[in-house]
Amino acid sequence: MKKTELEVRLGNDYAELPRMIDSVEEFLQSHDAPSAIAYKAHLALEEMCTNIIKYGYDDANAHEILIHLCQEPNRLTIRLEDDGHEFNPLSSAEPDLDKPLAERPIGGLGIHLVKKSMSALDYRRENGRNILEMRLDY
Amino acid sequence: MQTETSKVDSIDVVAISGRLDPAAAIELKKVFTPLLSAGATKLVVDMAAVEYIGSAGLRELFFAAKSLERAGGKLVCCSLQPEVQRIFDIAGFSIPYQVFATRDEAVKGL
Repeated sequence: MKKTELEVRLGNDYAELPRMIDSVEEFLQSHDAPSAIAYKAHLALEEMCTNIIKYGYDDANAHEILIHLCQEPNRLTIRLEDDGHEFNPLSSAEPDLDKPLAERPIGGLGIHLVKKSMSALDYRRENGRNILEMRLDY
Repeated sequence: MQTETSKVDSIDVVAISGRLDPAAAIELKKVFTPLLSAGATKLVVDMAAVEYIGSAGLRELFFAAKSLERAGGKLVCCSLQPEVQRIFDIAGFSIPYQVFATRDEAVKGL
């Protein structure tokens, strides 16, 4: 049973996102993860880290988001840890997708896409940190 | 991301390639804005070469579609790769008159 891990530290700066995504994609490619799984991992990291950078902090200081990937046979687990204010993405409201395009609000779309793409999500608040675990079974 | 803009009769076509990530979404806005302010009403977005789209890219498509709707026009997308199609499906953006299998069908559907 092979298990490999990757840890990436991300500053709260949008400009750092592409570098982080590249290193995750490289890691997944080297483990022959299916392209659909790489897509979902990219989506989850980009949407959730963007949300943390955009809404997570009440000051203008530099912060660090800790990203941990664990690749096992047919399973990828992604853990995000940040020291922003408490935010549970799993309790955010679902966007109303039945409304006509012109009346549809935009907020919450990223979280919705991630929720629908993952096999399982788990959130907890621990020692003043948000910890979000996302699992992809395939 | 790269874009290529062309015109078929009165229809503007924007072909996008690469990753439509948040940085690319900002660039896409810069492509749509001049077309919309020049009075475009029929817009085909060809996504055959788009490998990735997230919420930021979808949002730009929403905004352009809303803006065209207000002007009495229409935006349609075509040629989605399977993973991009899946994102459209879960975003609820995949209603029949907006997404076509090929560019020819999209042009005819406008």
